[in-house]
Amino acid sequence: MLELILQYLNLILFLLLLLVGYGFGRLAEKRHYRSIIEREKAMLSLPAISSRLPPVRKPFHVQTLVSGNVVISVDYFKRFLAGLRNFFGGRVTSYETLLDRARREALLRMKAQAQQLNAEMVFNIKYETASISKGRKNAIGSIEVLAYGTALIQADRLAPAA
Amino acid sequence: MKYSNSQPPEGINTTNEHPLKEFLTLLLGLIALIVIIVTVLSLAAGYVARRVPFETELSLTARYSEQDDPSQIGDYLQHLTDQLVTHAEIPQGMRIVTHYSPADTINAYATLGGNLMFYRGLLEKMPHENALATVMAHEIAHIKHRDPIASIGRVILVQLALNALMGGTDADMVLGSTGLLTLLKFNRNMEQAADQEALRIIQKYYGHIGGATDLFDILHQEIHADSNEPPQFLLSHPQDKNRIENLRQLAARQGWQTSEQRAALPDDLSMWLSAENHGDTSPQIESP
Repeated sequence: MLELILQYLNLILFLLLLLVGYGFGRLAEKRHYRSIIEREKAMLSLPAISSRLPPVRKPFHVQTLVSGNVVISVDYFKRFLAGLRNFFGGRVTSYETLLDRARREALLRMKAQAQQLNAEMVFNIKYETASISKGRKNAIGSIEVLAYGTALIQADRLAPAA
Repeated sequence: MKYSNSQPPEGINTTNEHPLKEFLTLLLGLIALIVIIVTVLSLAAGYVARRVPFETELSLTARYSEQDDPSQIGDYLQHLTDQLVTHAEIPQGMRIVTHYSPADTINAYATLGGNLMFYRGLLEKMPHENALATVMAHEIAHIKHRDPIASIGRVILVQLALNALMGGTDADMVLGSTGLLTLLKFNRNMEQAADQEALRIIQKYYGHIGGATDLFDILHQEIHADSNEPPQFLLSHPQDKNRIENLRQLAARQGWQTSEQRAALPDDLSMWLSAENHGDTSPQIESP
């Protein structure tokens, strides 16, 4: 029995990693989505728009940069699934949820910062994304998403932090 | 004008399909793809490798082959090989060289460059010369059929293809190691063809096929007697009931007779075997 385990140690270790990756990855993703949707609803009152200029000229307002960024790691299962996708092509769904979570989380963090500053809205929002494990072939990859924009704050409501 | 955001709908940027479903579909697809590629390539490689000139095979192995120390047992094995080869109708320019190793391993095999290897462990089990000649004829048949180079050509080509296919993913760890293990041996068809050729050679050499399969019976009885792990020879020459049965049918078709006559092994064989051993079970290091 022990001999058999030693012989297939590679395979067993791989399956274990896959199982752990699947279990924890799935759990983390579920919890994350629940939290994202909850916070998105809570922050609906703070509009975030992508137009370059504020929609209405507003005198007596202060403009300041707000940003939020997040790094999320891919799990072993997602990575293997994406590897399998390489053969056949098609939607890499295991990475799609990862990026979706990262974008929404980054925007939420940006909004959280704007909210602390008592902002009325955030405009000119942009996203940047980066893979922070570039060039390291066998390392488990992570993605970074940065969301930034210009917060519009009524001058007399300016929070002391700004 | 009042600006507001609305809660984004779910399921547009992502899918609700269960990841395990995708995982299983892709994995099964990949396994099917690999099975097809391995099958096609191994058939093609076997076909091409058998057409490699024997001189090329020799030049490939020349740098690895070393001359054995002259010994009585080596001479005896080579002599028997030469006798059998005269009936084997091997292609011109092919020469078969038999080597002897004093190791305990119960095995014999044929390898590249027309080389046969016999271990002391197997020779000690031989009841008579007919049994030894059968094994030898079987290995000679492998060389005649170019099985070693076909087998190795297969492994190399399939390995190359799998590396190209799996290069950067983890998938090679799982599939690369499982798919190839079976190819390292001669496959069932090769074994069967070698069996039939061996029986033909034995019939020509002794005029009957009596005792040809005795060694298998002995080795099998040993497995049952003490439930140790089976001898290497049975692992590299897997036996199933059909195999012996096929040989019996072949003999019946060809009208080959069995007989109770057995050629004796040389009287001194057991002395040679123990003398060459020196009580040392480690493989002998051959002098350059």
